[in-house]
Amino acid sequence: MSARKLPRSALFFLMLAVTAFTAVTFLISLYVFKAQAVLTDRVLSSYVTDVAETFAQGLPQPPDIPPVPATRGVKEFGSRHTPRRRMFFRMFATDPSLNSGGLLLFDSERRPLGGSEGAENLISLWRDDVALGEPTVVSDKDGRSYYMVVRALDQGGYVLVAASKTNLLSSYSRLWNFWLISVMISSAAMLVGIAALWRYFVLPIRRIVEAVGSLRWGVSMPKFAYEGLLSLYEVCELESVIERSASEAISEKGLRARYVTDIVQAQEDARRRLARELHDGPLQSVVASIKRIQLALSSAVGGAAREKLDEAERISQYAANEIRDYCDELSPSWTALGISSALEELSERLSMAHNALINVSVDDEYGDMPGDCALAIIRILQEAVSNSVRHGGAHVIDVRLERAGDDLIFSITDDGRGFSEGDFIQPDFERTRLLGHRGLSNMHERVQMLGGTLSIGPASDNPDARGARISVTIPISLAERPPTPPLPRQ
Amino acid sequence: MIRILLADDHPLTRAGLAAWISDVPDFKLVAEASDGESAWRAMRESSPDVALLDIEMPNGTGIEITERATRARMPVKIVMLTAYRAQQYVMASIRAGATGFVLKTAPFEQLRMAIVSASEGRFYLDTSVSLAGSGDVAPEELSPREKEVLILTAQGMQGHRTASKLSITERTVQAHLASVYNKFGARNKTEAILIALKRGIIFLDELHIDEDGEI
Repeated sequence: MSARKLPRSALFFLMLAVTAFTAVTFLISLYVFKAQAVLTDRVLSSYVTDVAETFAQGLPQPPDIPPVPATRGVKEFGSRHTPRRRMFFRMFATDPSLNSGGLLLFDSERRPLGGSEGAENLISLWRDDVALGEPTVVSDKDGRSYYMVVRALDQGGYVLVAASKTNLLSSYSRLWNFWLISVMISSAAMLVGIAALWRYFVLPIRRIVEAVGSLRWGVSMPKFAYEGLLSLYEVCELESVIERSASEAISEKGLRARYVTDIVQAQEDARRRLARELHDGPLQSVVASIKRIQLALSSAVGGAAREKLDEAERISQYAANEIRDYCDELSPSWTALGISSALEELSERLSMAHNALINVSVDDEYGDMPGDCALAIIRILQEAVSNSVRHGGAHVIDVRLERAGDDLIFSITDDGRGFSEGDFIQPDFERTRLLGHRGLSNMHERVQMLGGTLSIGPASDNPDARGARISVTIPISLAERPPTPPLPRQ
Repeated sequence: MIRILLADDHPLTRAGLAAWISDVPDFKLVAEASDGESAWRAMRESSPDVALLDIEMPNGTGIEITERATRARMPVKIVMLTAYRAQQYVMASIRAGATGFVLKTAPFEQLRMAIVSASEGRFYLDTSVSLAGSGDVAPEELSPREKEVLILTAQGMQGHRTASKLSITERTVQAHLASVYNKFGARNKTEAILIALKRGIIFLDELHIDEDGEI
C-alpha cells in the first residue's frame, strides 16, 4: 500500500502561496508604517485647527475678556467646553502628568487672557515665522515638539492651540511602529525561511529524487548536484544512505557478474584446453599415421595390401575430420585471427550448416578487442543464427559489427517469421531459462558479462515487416580494454 | 633441386613429412624446426627455397613467421600446413604472404604440387579446403570494377573503406561483390577470393599492401 500521491507541483504551489501571503503582509505593513506617519500628522494638524476653530466660533463674549489666572483653566469662558477639551488633551497621553498641550487665549500684546492649565507656557512657542491659521510643528526649549495653530479671533486677540507630539502620541506611535516593524521583520524572516527551505530542503530532495530516478542500480553511482556546498544534515544523511545502497548494489552486481564470468571463463578454459589436447594429441597422431600410410602407399605396394592401406587411410582421414570437428565445436582456434575473420569464418560455416545466406559487415578492425569479448560475440552469433533458422525459418541473415558513438553495436537481423505482437518486448531471461530455453538466457549472460545490453525485437519498426533482430550494445571502452583480472581467491 | 625447411611442433608428423621429402627426387630437406622461433632462425640460416610451416606452433605461429619473412623481404616461398580446415586461415596466410596452403591430411601429391608451385611463385590451395563452384565451368570474365572491388576486399578492406577508396557507395560495392559471387558460384567473399586466386584472375602480389598503402 502506497500513500496517495499529490501532484508534483503541490509543494511548489504550497510554498508559493505561503510566500505570496507573507510578501503581501510585509508590503501592507510597510505601507501602513509609512501611511501612519502621514496620518498622525494630518490627525494632529486638523485636531489643533479644529479645536482653535471650535473655540473661536463658540466664544460667548466680545474680546474684552478679563485676563484670567493661567492656572485656573478656561472655566470662565464656558463650562460646557472646558472639561471636554481637557479630557481630549489627556486622552492619548500615556502619562497624564505630562504636559500634553493646551489652549491659550492672548491679546495682541501676547498677554495671556486665559487658557487651559499650564497653557501660559505655550506662548513661547509662537514665533514670528508661524503663519496664522496654519498648523505647524514647533519645538520648545526642552526639545518637545508640538502641533500648533494660532488663530486670530474676530473679537481681537488670538487663540493658540498646541498638542504635544512627544507627550501625546509618541508612545502610542512607538508601540504602533514597534508592532508594524515586528510584523515586517517576521514576514521578512518567513520569506528568508521559505527561500532557505526551498534551497536547502526542497531542491536537494528534488535532485535526490531525480538522481535516484535516473540511477541504474548496480551499474552507476548517483550524481548529486551542488557538491561541496553547504547542505542540511538530513539531506546529507539521505544522500549518503542512497550512495551506500548504490555502491552495495554495484558491488553485489559486480560479484554476481564475476561469479558468472568465472563460471563461463572456467567453462571456456576447459573447452579450450580439451580442444588443444585433441589437436596436439589425437589429431596429430592420426595425421602422423595418415602420413605413414601415404608413405607406404607411395612405395610400390600392390594388390590386397594396397587396398587395406587405402582403407586405413580413409578411416584415418575420417577420424581426423571427426577430431577436427570436435575441436571446432569445443573452441574454434580461428577466433585468434581477430573478430572480423572470426565472424566471417563462423558465418561461412553456419551458412553451410544451416543452408542460409549470411552477410557479414564489420566497419573496422577492432584489433584491440579482448578475447572474451570476441568469444562472446562468436557464441552469440552461433546461438542467434541457430535460433533464426530453427525457429524463424530465416534464409538471409545480416550480421553487423559497427561503432556508434561510444558504443560497439553487434546486430543480427534475419528475414524469418520474427515475433508475433508482444512476444518479446522485454524478455524475462530467468523465465525462459526455467522453461528450458537456455539459448536466450545464455546470450543475455554473455552480454552482461561484457557489461553490455541485449535487445531482442522485430527486424524493423514497420509492423508488417517480417524478421527478428538481436542487437548487443557494448561500451567501446569495454570492447577494447584488456579483460579484468579474475577475483583474487580469499 | 628445391631446398625445403620443415617446421611442425609434432614430432611424429614431422618425421613422416621428413621421410617423404627425402624420398622425393627433386626435394632436399635443409632444416627442421619444432617451433616458431627455431623456424625463423632456420629460415635465415639455411635460406631454403620453400618453407613448410605449421600454423599452430609454440613461440610464434606459422602466420606470424610468414609475416616476419614478408616484412624482411626474404626470397623464401611459404606453404602453410595445418590440421585445421578454416577458410580464414587461408585468407590470413595469404595476407601474411604465404604462397600455398595444404592440409596435413592431404595426399602427398598435393603437398608436392604445392611445393613445386610455390617454388615457381604460383599460388596453390588444397582442393579439400571446401570450395563451391570450383568445378570445370569456364569462369565468366570479371569487369575491371569487379576485379578492383574483389582485390580490395581480399586485402581485408571493409565495405565502407572500399567504397570511399573507389568513390562509390557501399551498396554498389555489395552489388559488385554479389555479381562476382554469381559469376563464380561462390557463397561468400572468401570463396570468391580463393576461386579468383586459384584461377589466376587475381594474383598473390596484388593482395599485399605496400608501405604507402597503395595496391
